[in-house]
Amino acid sequence: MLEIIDLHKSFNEKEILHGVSFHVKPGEIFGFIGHNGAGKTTTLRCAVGILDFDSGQIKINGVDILKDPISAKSLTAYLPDNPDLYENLSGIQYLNFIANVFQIDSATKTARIEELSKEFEMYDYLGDQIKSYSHGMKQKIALISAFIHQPKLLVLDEPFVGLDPKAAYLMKERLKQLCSNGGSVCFSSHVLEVVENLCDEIAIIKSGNIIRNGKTSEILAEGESLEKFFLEIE
Amino acid sequence: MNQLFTIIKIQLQNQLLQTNSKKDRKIKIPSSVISFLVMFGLSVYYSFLLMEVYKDIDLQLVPLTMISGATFLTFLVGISTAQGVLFGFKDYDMLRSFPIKENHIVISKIVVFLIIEYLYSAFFVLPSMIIYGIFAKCGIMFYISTIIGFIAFPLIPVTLASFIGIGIKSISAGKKYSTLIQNILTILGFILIYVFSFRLGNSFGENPGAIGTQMTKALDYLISAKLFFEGTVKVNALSLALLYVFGILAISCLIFIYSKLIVRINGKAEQGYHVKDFKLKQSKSNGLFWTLLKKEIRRYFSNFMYFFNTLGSLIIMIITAVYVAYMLRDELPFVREFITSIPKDMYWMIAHACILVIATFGQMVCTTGVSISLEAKTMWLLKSLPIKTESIFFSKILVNLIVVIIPTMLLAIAVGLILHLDVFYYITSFIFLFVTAIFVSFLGLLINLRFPKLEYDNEVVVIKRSLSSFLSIMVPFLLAIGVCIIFFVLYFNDFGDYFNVILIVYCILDIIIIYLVLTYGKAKFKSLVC
Repeated sequence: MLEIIDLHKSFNEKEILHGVSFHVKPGEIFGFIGHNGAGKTTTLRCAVGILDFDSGQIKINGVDILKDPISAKSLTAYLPDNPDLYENLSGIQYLNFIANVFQIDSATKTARIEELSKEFEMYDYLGDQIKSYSHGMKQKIALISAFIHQPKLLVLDEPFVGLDPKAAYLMKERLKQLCSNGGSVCFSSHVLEVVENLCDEIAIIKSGNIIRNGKTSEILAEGESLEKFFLEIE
Repeated sequence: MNQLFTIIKIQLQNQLLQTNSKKDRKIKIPSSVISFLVMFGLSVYYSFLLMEVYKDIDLQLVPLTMISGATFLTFLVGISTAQGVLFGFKDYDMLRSFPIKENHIVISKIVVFLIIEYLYSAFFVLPSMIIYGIFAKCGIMFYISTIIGFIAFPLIPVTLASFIGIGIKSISAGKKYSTLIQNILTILGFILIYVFSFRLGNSFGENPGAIGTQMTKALDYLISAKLFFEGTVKVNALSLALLYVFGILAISCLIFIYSKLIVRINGKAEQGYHVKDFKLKQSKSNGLFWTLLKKEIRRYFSNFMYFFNTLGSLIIMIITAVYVAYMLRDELPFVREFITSIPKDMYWMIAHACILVIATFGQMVCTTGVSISLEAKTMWLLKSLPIKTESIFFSKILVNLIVVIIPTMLLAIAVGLILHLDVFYYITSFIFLFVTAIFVSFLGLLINLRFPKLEYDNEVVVIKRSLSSFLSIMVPFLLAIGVCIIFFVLYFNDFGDYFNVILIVYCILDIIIIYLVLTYGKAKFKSLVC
């Protein structure tokens, strides 16, 4: 579903990513871990077409993000670690905006907004201005907008930051549901316990290089826990 | 005290010198220099112009005019700036959590606001005072009193402007249509001030010899201008002392009232609105472009500073034009009769001149000049959604076309109706206004793509003080002024009517700029790191 091949990316002539490669298969939850500044966010932002890159290839469901960005992005939803939304819009205006961009018909749009907003306990606040939302509420609205067009690939950067335990649980269930329907999830996180329990496959990035990539079970077999493994590779 | 200076320094850096990267800093220096040179140049030019006009009447009218002008400017700019600088900042909670005295936070905000106002005032007043001092061969006391007086001079207009700004913000903050309320109240405030100033202007009468007496009389309404003028030009120490007394009293009142209201108003302004008993209704789905356009229109009209800094000037000019037409209503039949009786080439010169002047008004409105910078925090969203870059550009450009074309065309229709101009005037004006609106819209976007400001805390910094904002308003406006001057110089020197040539030149410029936006601009947008 997501193929990243030999990705190189520089900022001001300093190379940040030195040939990152990994593959997220259909139906898989993929965890992307690494220390602060290792290159996780840069990789994910390149993958969803926010950042340009120097060389390499990124394919979403076989579609090259550089050659056909619109088709590639139509299959994807991205959620950054700190989603800045259009603060002057209300929650419902924002969700309508996203649904319209993905050309969802009126009845489906309303049904999905109702279902998702009730599930994430945001229904009563949809008429409020986003400016009035707490960090967690903004995160929930961004999450609802990510699920609204039923993407094939969901790319999330630190998705659990700011979510209450119930919302985090609901999100995990949604991620599993998306994968059971043939979709894929790729997310970065510092919460190693979640990665350990949720992900089918893991990639560990250090200073712009993938230093380990494989099945979670295989990596865990090498150590007692992901946390211990993560500390040992320092 | 050190703590207070540190807060003021940080606030100033945030407002005037906000730079986060070396690349940005390189651009900031020319930006300040260009702004300074243009404002200084205009002020010097205007002072010399006044010197020429008043040299045979009374040389003192030069500083008198500039001081009165500066009072109005400080006052008018202050109404909108107060709403942006004194409220709507995001660091208040953070500052309050630090071991900082509450009054230090309040004073720091007011000092920053005052410094911005002092800058506007200085560029307007000081060059004219120096030029007057040289021409009138004033002694050293004149210069010393100018420096001393200038420190207290803007305090009264700034305080009055702040009270109006605080009042407007207090009424509108936290309401669903807060920006609309804020826009309407501010424009109403401006209209009232304009009507008042026109009434003052009308009292000047028709006798040029009496203009000095009339202006001095008008000065009675502008207490700070009167005291500053008397204290400097007439070197009256008592006036300077009174200027300080009133100024300090005014600013003390401002500090007192602002400190009482800051928490309540800022809290309300930052809170956003809430809706009780929300019920989800089925809304119809829109096409992609319409969705983007709706988003852009909402963003434009929900940001007071964005709206006021762009369309505000055009609305005020239209109101001024309507007011002037109303005041001159008795003379209009004679004007119409004159226009129908003059030769055809003269008739077209007047019609074309009207179009050029209206187009110049339109060239001052550039919403696209900061539209990319304002996306900074939400750029991730635009770039990750399946939207073509061209669609993003065109939605931003269309907002500018709407806000330029509708008012300017209405103005053109009003002028046509008032002067009884024929159908060809309407056709020509619509084509010309459309072509020039395309020019300013695409040029603004191109400038913003070339000089984006993506790191800022407060949108006011982008809208009012970024290089892109300055260039996107000044470049098309100065070009339009240049075109008007060339047109009149050529016409009055019997070089013929060059209006059609100007139209063709604008068409060619449009094609070049559209091409640049779709090639260079598109590549720049792709490379923006946010």
